Amino acid sequence: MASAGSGDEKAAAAAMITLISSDNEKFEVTEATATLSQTIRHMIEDGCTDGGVPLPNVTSKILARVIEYCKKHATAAAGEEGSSSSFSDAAFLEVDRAFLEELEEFDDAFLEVDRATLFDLILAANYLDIKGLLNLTCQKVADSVKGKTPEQIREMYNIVNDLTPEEEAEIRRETQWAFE
Amino acid sequence: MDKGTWTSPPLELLLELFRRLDVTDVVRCAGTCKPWRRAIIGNAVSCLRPRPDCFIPNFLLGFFFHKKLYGDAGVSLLRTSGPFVPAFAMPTAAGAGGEDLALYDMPLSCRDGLLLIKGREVDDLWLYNTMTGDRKFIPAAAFKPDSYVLVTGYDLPTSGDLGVRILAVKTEHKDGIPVKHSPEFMKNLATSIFPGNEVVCGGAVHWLGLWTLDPCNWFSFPEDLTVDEIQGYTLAVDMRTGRTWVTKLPDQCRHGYSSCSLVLATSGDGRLSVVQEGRFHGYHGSCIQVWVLISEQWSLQRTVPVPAANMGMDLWTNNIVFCPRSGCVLVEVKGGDLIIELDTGPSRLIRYLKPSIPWSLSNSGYRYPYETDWSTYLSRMKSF
Repeated sequence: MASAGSGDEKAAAAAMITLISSDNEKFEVTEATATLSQTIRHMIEDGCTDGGVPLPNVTSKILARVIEYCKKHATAAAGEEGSSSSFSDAAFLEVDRAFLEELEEFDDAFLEVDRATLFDLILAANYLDIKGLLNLTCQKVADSVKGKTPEQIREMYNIVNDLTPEEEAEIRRETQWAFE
Repeated sequence: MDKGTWTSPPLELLLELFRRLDVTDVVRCAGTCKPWRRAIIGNAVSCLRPRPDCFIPNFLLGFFFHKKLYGDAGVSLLRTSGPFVPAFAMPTAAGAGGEDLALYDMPLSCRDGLLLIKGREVDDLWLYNTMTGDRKFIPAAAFKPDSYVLVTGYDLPTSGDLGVRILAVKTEHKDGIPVKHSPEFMKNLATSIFPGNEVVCGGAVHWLGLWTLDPCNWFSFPEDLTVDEIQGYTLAVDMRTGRTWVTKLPDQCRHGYSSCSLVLATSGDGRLSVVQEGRFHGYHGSCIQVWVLISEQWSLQRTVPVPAANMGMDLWTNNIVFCPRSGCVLVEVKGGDLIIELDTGPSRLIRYLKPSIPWSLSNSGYRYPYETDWSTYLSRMKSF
């Protein structure tokens, strides 16, 4: 696996894919980076990436961020493959740990965005089917909701309250324990 | 950002969010706006298994038990006459009718509205969803287990896992003392594996165990042994990784010959707990004490005097049943059964269950708590 892999990786590194954002900006990325997206992976497998991959649902601003995430995590994935072929050498494990920590720091910094951007990242991660990014961004929203009242959640995410005061009172009565 | 963007994202993304929340947060989200509320109510049963973070006494619907009367054995259900808290929407079970249950032989485990039952034939196991009435045949374990334990999606750390795991457990006997073999095997640790002696907590199953230097005295004079000579433990198995470990119980939780005066439990927010029944210094009559493990330290949460204090110890069967979602314990007392809420302060007698089940009529003696599951509860909240 390891010996065959290095040749393939070189080939993959050479193959570049062009991604085209909704506002027609072009991004050149390696195939290894692009295939973190299952959507793009399937396009590549179907051989329909010549002339670029149009992504009409993703703006250049968001696509740039998504590519930043994919580049970092594609490197991480390659690193993991490399270390697993070296029979868990202690030195490699140490490198792995340092790398995982670095990756965690990267993810934390990556999530330092306003809520509108976070929402767009979630939509993009969903559309492009990037599991890691979807998980990361959804968890960020979930963490921000934890322990908040409905009013606070509405305020945070600009949610329009379409419940009448009577309905709200009924909800509170029905599930009073959750609002104490 | 546009007003209302977060009100109507694709449903699958909303569910990705709700899947990562504990029950209290899910219920609060259901109070933010109609689209969120509908998303939760409409999809709770099919894809939400939120981690419980509080007790709801009304979830307790009753107890299943094995009744053996004049040669006629079967599964019986004793309903609690709730709801205990007024003005509280409570789903009633669709299935679990008494006639259906008569077809089965014995309850084996019950959790989150799911009942594992043994049928009349050998190797005949059924998983019965009491909320929907659906039943599924399950092949019996290849060995004869001492206990079956149900672990549901609500118990596992990553929510959104809808799977149910059925654990079949058997103790092997060594020198007369049951010993659980595990990678973290502990010399002289005896775990007693029988229904009700376990608790599911933090994605792991804990069994009550007892370590003693002096097994001979343990049988005869446990009170004479010091904490260096006798100590309660739990033995845990992580459901995901299979890792095992032991957790020391509070020094004050002494159990002697039968270990039945202790029962493992959880706190409302899911910490490992232990409930001890007995007579304690400074209290008149019988009490239960609730200990909770907080940051690796045991802390005595409360002492609840048990009413009907005229009871002599001999009238106790020492049979405490912990109900994991309602946070109640069932204690058998003279003339009935007592349900005590663990989380809500002292001496809260809820109700006598009548008639109580005489020990001689219930073969195994253990009552399996029958509780509503969270998804069913969420699905039956009022929709607007």
